[in-house]
Amino acid sequence: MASMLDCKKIQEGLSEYIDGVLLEEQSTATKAHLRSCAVCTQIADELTQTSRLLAFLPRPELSVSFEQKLTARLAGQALRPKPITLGEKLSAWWVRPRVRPAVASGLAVAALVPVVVFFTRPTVAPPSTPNTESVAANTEVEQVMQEHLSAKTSEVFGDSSGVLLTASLTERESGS
Amino acid sequence: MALATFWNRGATTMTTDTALIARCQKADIVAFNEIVGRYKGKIYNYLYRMTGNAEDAEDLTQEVFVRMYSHIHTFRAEASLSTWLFRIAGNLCVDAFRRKKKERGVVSSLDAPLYNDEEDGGATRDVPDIKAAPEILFSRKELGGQIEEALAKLPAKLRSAVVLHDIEGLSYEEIAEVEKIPLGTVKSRIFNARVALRSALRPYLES
Repeated sequence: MASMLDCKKIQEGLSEYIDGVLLEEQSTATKAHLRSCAVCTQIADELTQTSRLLAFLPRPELSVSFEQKLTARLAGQALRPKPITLGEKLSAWWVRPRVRPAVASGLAVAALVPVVVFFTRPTVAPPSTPNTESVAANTEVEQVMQEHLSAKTSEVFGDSSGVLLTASLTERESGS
Repeated sequence: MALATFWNRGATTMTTDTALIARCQKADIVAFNEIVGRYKGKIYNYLYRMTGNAEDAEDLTQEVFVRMYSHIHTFRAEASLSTWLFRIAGNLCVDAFRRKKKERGVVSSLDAPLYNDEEDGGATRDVPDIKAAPEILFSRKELGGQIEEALAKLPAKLRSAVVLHDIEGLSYEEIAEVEKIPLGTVKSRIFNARVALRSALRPYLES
C-alpha cells in the first residue's frame, strides 16, 4: 500500500516520466509505484492524454503577403557578411594550393637542417695533425746529437768507432 | 534502425542549417529566404500561442526575421538555429507583454493570463466549465478551441514551456537554452502547465 508521501513524490516526477527523461532509477521506482497505486496511475494517464491533446490544436497560417512584407522591410538594408577572423584568414591562406607546397617544402627543410647538423657533427675530437716543423726540428736535433756523439767517441777512442756507433744506432732505429 | 534514421535526419537538418547560416554570413540572400521559409511557420505558431492574436503574432514573426537578418553575421555555430530564433521570439514576447502592460497602465488586466509573467499565478486559475456544452465535445474544431482557451489561461512562462515542448517538439535542454533558465525550472514549468491543462480539459480525458 503506497503512502501519501510516496504518491506526492511520485506525482512530482510524472511529467518527466511520461516524457521518458527521468533517471533510470527514478523511472523504475515510478513504474513499480504505478503498478500498485490506482490514483497515481490515473494522474499519469491524464497527463499523457493532456500532452497529446495539444496536437489537436490547429496550426495557424501566416498571411500570404508575409514574405512580401518582410522583403519590403529589409529593402534598404544589406545582409552583412560575417567579419573574417585572424584564424579564418590564416586558414584561407593555408588552403591556397599555390602557396601550400612551397611553404610545406620550406618548413620541411627548415625542420631538417638542425637534425642533419646534429647527426653529422663529429662526436670524437680528430687526432691532432703532426706538426711538420717540430718533426723537422727534432730530426735536426737528433742529427746534431749523433754527430756530437760520433765526434766525442772518435775523440775518446782515437779511431773511427764513433762513426761506426752512430751508424749502428741509426740502423737500429730504422729497423725498429 | 528507426533511431538511426531519426539520428541521420537530425544530422542532415543540422548540416543544412549550418550550411545555410554559413551562406547567409557571406551575404547570400537566397539562403536567408530559405531559412525564413523553413522556420516562419514554427515561429508564427509559437508567437500565436503566446500572444493569442494573429496580427500581433505576424508582426512579431516579421520582427524575428528582421533581427535575424541584422544579426546573422554575429551568430556562432555552437547554438542551433531554431534555438536562436525561438529565443529572439521569446524576448520579443516579453517586450510586447511589458509594452501592453504599460499601455494599459495596470499590473493585471482582463486578459492577464496571456500577458502574465507570474511563474504559477495562473496554474490554479478557474477555467470555464466545458461540460456545459456536451454536444460539441466530439467536434475536433471545438476541442481545439477549448484547448486553445485553456492554454491561453496559463501564465506566459508555463505556456511558453509547454508550447515549445508539446507543440514545437523542443527538448528540455533546448527550452532551458531558449529561456535561459535551469533545467529544473523547465521541468517544473512543464509539469505545472500540464497539471493546469489537465484540470481544464478533464471532460475530454478518458478515465
